[in-house]
Amino acid sequence: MLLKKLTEASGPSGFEDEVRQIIYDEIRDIADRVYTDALGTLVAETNMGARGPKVLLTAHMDEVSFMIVAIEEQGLLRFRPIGGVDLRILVAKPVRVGAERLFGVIGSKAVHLQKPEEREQPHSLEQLFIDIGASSRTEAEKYVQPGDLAVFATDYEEIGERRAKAKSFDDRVGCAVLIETMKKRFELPVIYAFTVQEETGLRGAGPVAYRTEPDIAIAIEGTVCFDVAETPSHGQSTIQGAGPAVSVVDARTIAHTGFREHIVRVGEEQGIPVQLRRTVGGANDVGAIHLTGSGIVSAAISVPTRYIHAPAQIISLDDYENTIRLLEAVLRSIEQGGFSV
Amino acid sequence: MKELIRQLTIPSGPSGYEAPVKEVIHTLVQPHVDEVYDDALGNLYAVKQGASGPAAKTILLAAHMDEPALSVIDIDDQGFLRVAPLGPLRASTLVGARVVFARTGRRGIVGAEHGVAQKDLEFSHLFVDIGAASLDDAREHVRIGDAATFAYGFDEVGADLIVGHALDNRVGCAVLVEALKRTHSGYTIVAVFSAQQEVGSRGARVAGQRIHPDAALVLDVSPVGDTPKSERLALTLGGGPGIKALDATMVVAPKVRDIIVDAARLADVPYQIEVSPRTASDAGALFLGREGIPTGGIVVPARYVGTPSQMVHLRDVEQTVTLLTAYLGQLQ
Repeated sequence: MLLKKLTEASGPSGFEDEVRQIIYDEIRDIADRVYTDALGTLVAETNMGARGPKVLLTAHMDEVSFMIVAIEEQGLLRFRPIGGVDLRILVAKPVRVGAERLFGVIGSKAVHLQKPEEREQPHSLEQLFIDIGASSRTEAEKYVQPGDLAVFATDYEEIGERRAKAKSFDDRVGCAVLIETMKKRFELPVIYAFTVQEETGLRGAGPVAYRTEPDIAIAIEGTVCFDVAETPSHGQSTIQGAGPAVSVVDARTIAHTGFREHIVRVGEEQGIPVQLRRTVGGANDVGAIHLTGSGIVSAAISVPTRYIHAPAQIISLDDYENTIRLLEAVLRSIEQGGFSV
Repeated sequence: MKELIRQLTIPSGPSGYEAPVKEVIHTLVQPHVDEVYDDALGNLYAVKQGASGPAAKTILLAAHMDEPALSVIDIDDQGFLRVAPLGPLRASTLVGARVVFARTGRRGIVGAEHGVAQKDLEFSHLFVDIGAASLDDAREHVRIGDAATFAYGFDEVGADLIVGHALDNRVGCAVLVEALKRTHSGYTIVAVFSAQQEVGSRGARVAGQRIHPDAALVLDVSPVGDTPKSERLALTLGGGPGIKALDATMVVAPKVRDIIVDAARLADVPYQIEVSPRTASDAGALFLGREGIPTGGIVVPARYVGTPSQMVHLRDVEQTVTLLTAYLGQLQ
């Protein structure tokens, strides 16, 4: 199961190797040419001899994670987040540390021992540590070195009706959409890029856009969704189950109006539900891509992801499948000359 | 100049949706240039070939068209719009503001939820009332993703001062349009009416990479320090064009600055040196294009930058055109 395999793999920013290998194994026989660039982005070319605009599709392989920075006397691991993590969500969460996937838990003082004022304050990074069951620094050092990485320890599971939970739908769901899309053939030169270091500032995407010089680019993302109890409509960003979300404005991009409207129109014509992403916070690889070279017509299409950047993220499998359908429909429309730059 | 600025100030130009401004500029510059085109970011390029033919060096002149705006992120059941900022706007200063939507021209008023202290206001507390009776009625006039700017237009104060919500930077656009009419330069001039400056000079960045000029010059407004208890700033209203030495985005190389200073002296135009450490301009984005582009700037001093009532002295504008024309004329 592709989503399970992808989300359970470990892919800290800058250390995406495991995810890259999984994707490589999936696509090696589909793509015409596959290579990895200097930063680690996996690039797959298809049908580069075809006429028509060159399209770059991207999804990032990395996830929010932690780096071990020191080992304390008692064998506890000090860590720093890589990417945007809300420190308040970390307490008591299980993690997997290093290549051996050691179980660890982000420990905290028991409620019994906390003073009343401590209960009202979120923990600072200095109060948090990962416990891997070692009783001393010497013992811990047998298994872990500073510089090792940790990720949330969450298994993929389908829950409820047509929903799934896992740790890194942001953005393994985008990786899965790209892999499924690559299985279809388009009469267009299409480049699929599985990018690195998105969570640390969109670092992988710019170089791949610079190298491949696309006419059109689309990033597939997992994006914020907070359509839960009591949240007013303007605070939700997206609605789970209401289809792929097309970005309008975020912290790094104002979407190309013509292309954004084209995508929505294609969805409407094909009977695929589409929504607009209704917030301006956050960013994705388009922020780097659209400013590359002489400027690139770009869009972001996202699968609404509840509890993003946290251990258990939830998506709708209908949204996932509709994102695959929408992306195919958009590429077919470009193939047929329905959108040109 | 006054009429030209008025004409350029009327259209709404939210960052990312500059089309209404672009159309006006396109019509104005068309007769005076050899080529006009645009790009994926929304920049408008107007090219005037240099007198020395195809081998001419290239200078890029940039003036941003956009202004801060409110982007619609949601429409509620009663037809009220929820908005988020595009560019530097503060929620607490917007209550009661009159706005206009760039795409449809629909007008609206910014309101705030009750019970939040003015200083604590955030955009999530604000809404725009476009006089819609319902969600469906609102959707007839405004869509999610539409953007609105202030709707205060253009005013005159006394004999020589003008006021407007978009003088930053339609004044720069007007200077550039006028210079294209008047100038004869040895260099090929690529005038870039740039998009998306207010959100971080995104248009200028792409324009610099695309044109890769031998030099670049930014035309913008810059705040003055001549009002009661104002921040200490080098510029004075009516003191003549400011020649950029430093802003938040770059430090201008003395060599680049000196060429402009010399042009001002030769043309007998009074000038000031702009040192404005908290003002952003397109200069920084241009300057870092490809292997680096020598970049400078000429600014029109302005009061009340960052408010809906920016004030500019018409003589400063005229002198800026004179200085720019003189500078371009001496390029061989």
